[in-house]
Amino acid sequence: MSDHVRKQIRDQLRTTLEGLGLRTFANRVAALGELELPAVTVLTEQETSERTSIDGVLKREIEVAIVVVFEGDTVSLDDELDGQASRIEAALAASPPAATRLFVLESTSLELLSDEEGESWYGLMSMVYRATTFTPKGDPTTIK
Amino acid sequence: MVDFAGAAEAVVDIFGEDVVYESSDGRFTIPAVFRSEAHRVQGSRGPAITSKRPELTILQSAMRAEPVEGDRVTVRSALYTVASVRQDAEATRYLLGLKRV
Repeated sequence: MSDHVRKQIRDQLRTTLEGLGLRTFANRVAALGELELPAVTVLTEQETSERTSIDGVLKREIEVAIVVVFEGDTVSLDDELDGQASRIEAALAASPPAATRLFVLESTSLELLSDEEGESWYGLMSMVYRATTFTPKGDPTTIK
Repeated sequence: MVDFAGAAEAVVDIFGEDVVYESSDGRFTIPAVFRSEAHRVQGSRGPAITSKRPELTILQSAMRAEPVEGDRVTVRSALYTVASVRQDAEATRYLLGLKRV
């Protein structure tokens, strides 16, 4: 049996992001160690679905978050994150996941983690995409 | 009467090590107690990051001038910058929060 469409999307994104030389995790819940940074995690956080035909085809809208974490300094972190955003946006526009019919960037947020008491500064960027795909009734692994 | 200064000196004597402190007054070696506990940083999305919280305790009597943010200190061959300065209630020690350079 093949994978659920959400896993297919995460795996395809991981492959694309690894192609950019980014250490990418598609199933990461454990904390990231400093030696693992910079790192990217791909998360499918939410999904809404609706039946679109009499035979039960489901339209799935899946929120995909690509979270980039860097260690750096307060002077250059924004620049580093923006540089990565440029590469990621271009790569995903050129090669959206095959498991989607529509893959659009909905929002990007930048966050400087002011780890006041810690030894480092971290920059975190979340790029949220909406992936639209269709699956047959009762079969979340097959793309229509 | 409690001898806070004597107690602080004893702690630095027992647990301390030599560090190199750099400020506008120059570069000098002083004894200090270094601690670096693990802690977590959590962003709004994704997994947490494990980090460290390095702190240095130094005797006020060992300092030529009051430490300030931006001073530098080398501990165990690693260079840090002073990110925060606190004084204990008895005015015997400085507690310095450090950031790695």
